[in-house]
Amino acid sequence: MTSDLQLFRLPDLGEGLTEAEVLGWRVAVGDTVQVDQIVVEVETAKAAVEVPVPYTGTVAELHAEVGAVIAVGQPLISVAAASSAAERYRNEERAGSGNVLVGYGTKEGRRVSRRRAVGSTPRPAGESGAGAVRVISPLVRKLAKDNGVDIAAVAPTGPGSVVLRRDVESVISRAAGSSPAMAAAADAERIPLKGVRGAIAERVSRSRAEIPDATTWVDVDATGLMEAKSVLGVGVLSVVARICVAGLRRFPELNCTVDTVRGEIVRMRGINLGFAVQSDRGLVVPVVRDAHRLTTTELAAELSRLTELARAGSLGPEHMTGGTFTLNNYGVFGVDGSTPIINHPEAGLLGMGRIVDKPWAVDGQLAVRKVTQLSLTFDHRVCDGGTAGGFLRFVADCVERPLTLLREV
Amino acid sequence: MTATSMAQALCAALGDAMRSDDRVLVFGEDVGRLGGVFRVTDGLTAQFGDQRCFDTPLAEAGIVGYAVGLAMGGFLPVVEMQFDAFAYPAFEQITSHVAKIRNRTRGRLSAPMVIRVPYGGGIGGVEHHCDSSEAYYTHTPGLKVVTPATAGDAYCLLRAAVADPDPVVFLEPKKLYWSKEDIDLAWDGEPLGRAMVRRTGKDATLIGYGPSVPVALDAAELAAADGIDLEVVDLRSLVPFDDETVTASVRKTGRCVVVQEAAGFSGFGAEVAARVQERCFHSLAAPVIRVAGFDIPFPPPMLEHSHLPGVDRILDAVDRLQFADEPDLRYLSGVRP
Amino acid sequence: MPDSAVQDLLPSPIPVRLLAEDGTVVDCPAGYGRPSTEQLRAAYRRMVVGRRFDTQATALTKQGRLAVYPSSRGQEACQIAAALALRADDWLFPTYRDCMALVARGVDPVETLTLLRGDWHNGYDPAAVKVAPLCTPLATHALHATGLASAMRRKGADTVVLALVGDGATSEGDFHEALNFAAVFSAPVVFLVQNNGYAISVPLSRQSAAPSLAYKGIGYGVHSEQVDGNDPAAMLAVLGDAVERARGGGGPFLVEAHTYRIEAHTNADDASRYRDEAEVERWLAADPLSRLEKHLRDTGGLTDSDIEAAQAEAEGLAADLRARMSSEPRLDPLALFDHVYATPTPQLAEQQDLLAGELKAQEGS
Repeated sequence: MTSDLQLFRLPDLGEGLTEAEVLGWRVAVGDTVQVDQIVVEVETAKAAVEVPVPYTGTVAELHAEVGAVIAVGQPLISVAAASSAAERYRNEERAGSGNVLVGYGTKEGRRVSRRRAVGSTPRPAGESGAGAVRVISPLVRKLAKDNGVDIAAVAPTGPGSVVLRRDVESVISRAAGSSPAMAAAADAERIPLKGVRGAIAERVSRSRAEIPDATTWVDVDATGLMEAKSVLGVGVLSVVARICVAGLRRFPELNCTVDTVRGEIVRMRGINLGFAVQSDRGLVVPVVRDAHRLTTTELAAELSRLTELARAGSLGPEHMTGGTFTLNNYGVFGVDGSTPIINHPEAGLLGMGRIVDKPWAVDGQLAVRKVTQLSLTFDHRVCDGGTAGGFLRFVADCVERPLTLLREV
Repeated sequence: MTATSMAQALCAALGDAMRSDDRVLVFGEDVGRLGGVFRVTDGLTAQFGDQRCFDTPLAEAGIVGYAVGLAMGGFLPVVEMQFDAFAYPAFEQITSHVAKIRNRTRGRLSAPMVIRVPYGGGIGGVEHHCDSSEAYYTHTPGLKVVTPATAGDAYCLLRAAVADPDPVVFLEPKKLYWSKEDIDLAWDGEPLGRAMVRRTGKDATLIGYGPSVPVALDAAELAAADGIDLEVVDLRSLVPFDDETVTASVRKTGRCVVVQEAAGFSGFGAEVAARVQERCFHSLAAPVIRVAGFDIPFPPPMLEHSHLPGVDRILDAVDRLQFADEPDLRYLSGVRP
Repeated sequence: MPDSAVQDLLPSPIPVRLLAEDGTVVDCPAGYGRPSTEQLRAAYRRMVVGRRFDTQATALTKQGRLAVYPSSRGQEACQIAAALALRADDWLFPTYRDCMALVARGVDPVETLTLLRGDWHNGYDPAAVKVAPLCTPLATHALHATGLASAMRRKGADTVVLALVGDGATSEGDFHEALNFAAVFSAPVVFLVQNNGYAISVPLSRQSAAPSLAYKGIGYGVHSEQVDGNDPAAMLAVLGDAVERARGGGGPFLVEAHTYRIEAHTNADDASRYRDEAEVERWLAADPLSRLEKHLRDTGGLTDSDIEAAQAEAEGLAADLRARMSSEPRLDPLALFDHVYATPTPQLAEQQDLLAGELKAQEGS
């Protein structure tokens, strides 16, 4: 690689003076310099002058020390010109144009970084990641966003796959569960969904939305149950509760919750039995803790106590949390069957209808018996119909022949 | 109230300006003895003498450059460029000096003057007599650019332009020179910079200026018969631009059509549409549509009417404003309209 | 028009000259009288200072202190005559190559160079010094000069406007229009054409086929003259005469000065591409400064101490210029929005806010 050494001599700086003192070098041997770059400061008369070098390349030698006085025309600095084409190109690219006919020319180098952004850096919103979604207007896009509708999930009905206003509106109204016409009705009373009402609404919505539930039911001859309850001197609910607990010990799959985050069925060891009570404040579900440890008498007493508290409106959060299964005696409303809503995040709910006289077949003969309908709603993720049916059949058998419960004690 | 044409209103404005300010000089080609090819300077030489209203040699750069010198010397030149395209020789003087002298000298010198330019088509004029050159001037910082659409506005905008400390390019829609209004000409001292709502409406905003305003108003009247209520905004002042009035209107209606005679590509309407889109985006129920002349040199008189936007082209654009929750198909790829 | 009147408009067939290159007095058929010794001494001093200013500005450009400097070295006689021919209340309309004339007229040297430094486009108050901004688009200022001259006359003043143009600029349409307007309106404006032989690289022979540029005047009915632009005495005489005749109501005048641009077009021009050293050498021998110095010495109009005094003044100016130009001027970016209009528009105010935000963000990063 050959290199041309270019010698720059101290120029006539226009002062009519013949020499100058070197005050300080701005570059060192080995540095790259460009045309017109200031390389040295010299002093002439009473002023310090910065001297630019007319060459591009690498500094090969500085011909005067700081403090030295050199004459005009004497060597000042030697610059080795870049000789390889690539190096020359790089130098030229970096060097800029130098002075042009009309001004300073281009500058060397380019700053290719961004200074700190003014304000927050906007990040594209998730939905506009589907920036290809065509929407009829910004107004409609905003309508979707304001209503929590993912514009990318809206089925467009406009030509060219354009999402129209009515497409977004229909998604919104479906989510709301009522036709816009009803929601916009003027001839109506409006009750805010808040407080207990709001909490219940939220709970049941969540339950139905998250739990893939199924319901199975059976009609049961409850004559034996009624006799047993008289003998024991407790309420119907207490006996059914005791049967329920026994059933859950037999079929622990129904005493669980599904952990969707970790993708696991969590089988609870203890049974905290919740039961529905209709109070002035609405439906409440107090919980009998560790029901599996209680005798029937203790169970009955606890049910009583909690019912009292519920009626008085004195139930605290500690009474209403931690349930693993719920029992709902909606028969007190005078109805037979239902599709109960599981008390989220439990996996099952046993509902009992009214106990009434009904024609029944006993030993092949028509008789009038006390009949009731039991409904079991279960989370189909935790078990299949076999288990659910098994549990319900067990409960039904115990209701019909309470003595069989003795096997479980 | 008398029936006054725009040309007469302009003439009255010049006379009143010259009367109220001795510094005002009116000059150009044929403005003196002839009174102007459109009679806009009719009678001024007789009234004020040939030192104040006079003819110049046939040299547009000369007229404007000479005016710059006179302005430097404390006078207030109101010059005429005989037709829009004939102002082009003066383009350098206008853009390099008239527009810049205040800025160049940091305010120590300025060029308070008015350059009157008859512009626009619709008079069956032959080549070079029908251009709309406003975009060249609106794109030059330092110039103000105004254009009246009515005789009343011709009077007060010209008075305001003469009184303005900045240079003003005053574009006169020649096809409206003969349009008459029953009006008392008056100027309340209001400076340049305000647009005006000519017709209120709620369904969409038509924005126009100069010769496009009457066409827009005609279109609005026809649309009303179809049950569409159009608002018409007359910009009046292209620079300074009245963002407030325009934004308020489009935010109200949610839809906008911009009308201009000039070729659409890179025209002033593009600036209007961009501003509307930027400031009113969240209120828009439809794209902002421009209705303009085609991107061709101004056609011969016999084809002028195919070129200039008429009520049909404007109303076709209004139809594309997605009123029925149906997207405008024109630019939707993969869909044949 | 009678033939004698036509002849009157024409320039002298040979450029007017009062001093030979060696400083000796020559006869002048055109009948111009020699300027007084006082005038010549004043011119000498201004030329020494002017040349020094020019070489200092050239050096400053090489040091990166000016973006560009178009030198008028070699044209000192024209530059100084232009300044000395005018009264304080007359106006001067310069181009970018006439900084020397501005300094001679009394404009502050740093303010003169503001445009060329890359600072604001104009550094002095034109109304205060009666000098228009340095004009870059060639010949366009000739019209402004004409308009201003007319304005002054309308006001009843007897002031004159002097517009400086180069040989190339006489080809521009605005030059033609300016002369025409000036003649038609009888404006008291003098157009001094410094014919230095080149428009950047294009020689006069390619610029015009006229017998000489002064002959352009008759086409408009403008009195014209041509003069040896390197003869300070002739320049003072001819230019002074034109200015006074215009002042007296004689209408516009066109003066062509034959001179030479010693340096290249600007610092970034390579003149060796279009002219040879021999030509430059020839014109160096016709140096206006040495011609005047020789003449004044020979006639006892200049002593050694006069020369030293002139040089001292020159060095003082150069030193002052160096000192004042050694620091970077500080321009406020937010001032970009001032003086676009008399009052900023709402849109400009918005843009100023935007830039203010950018500047603030830069501070932080």
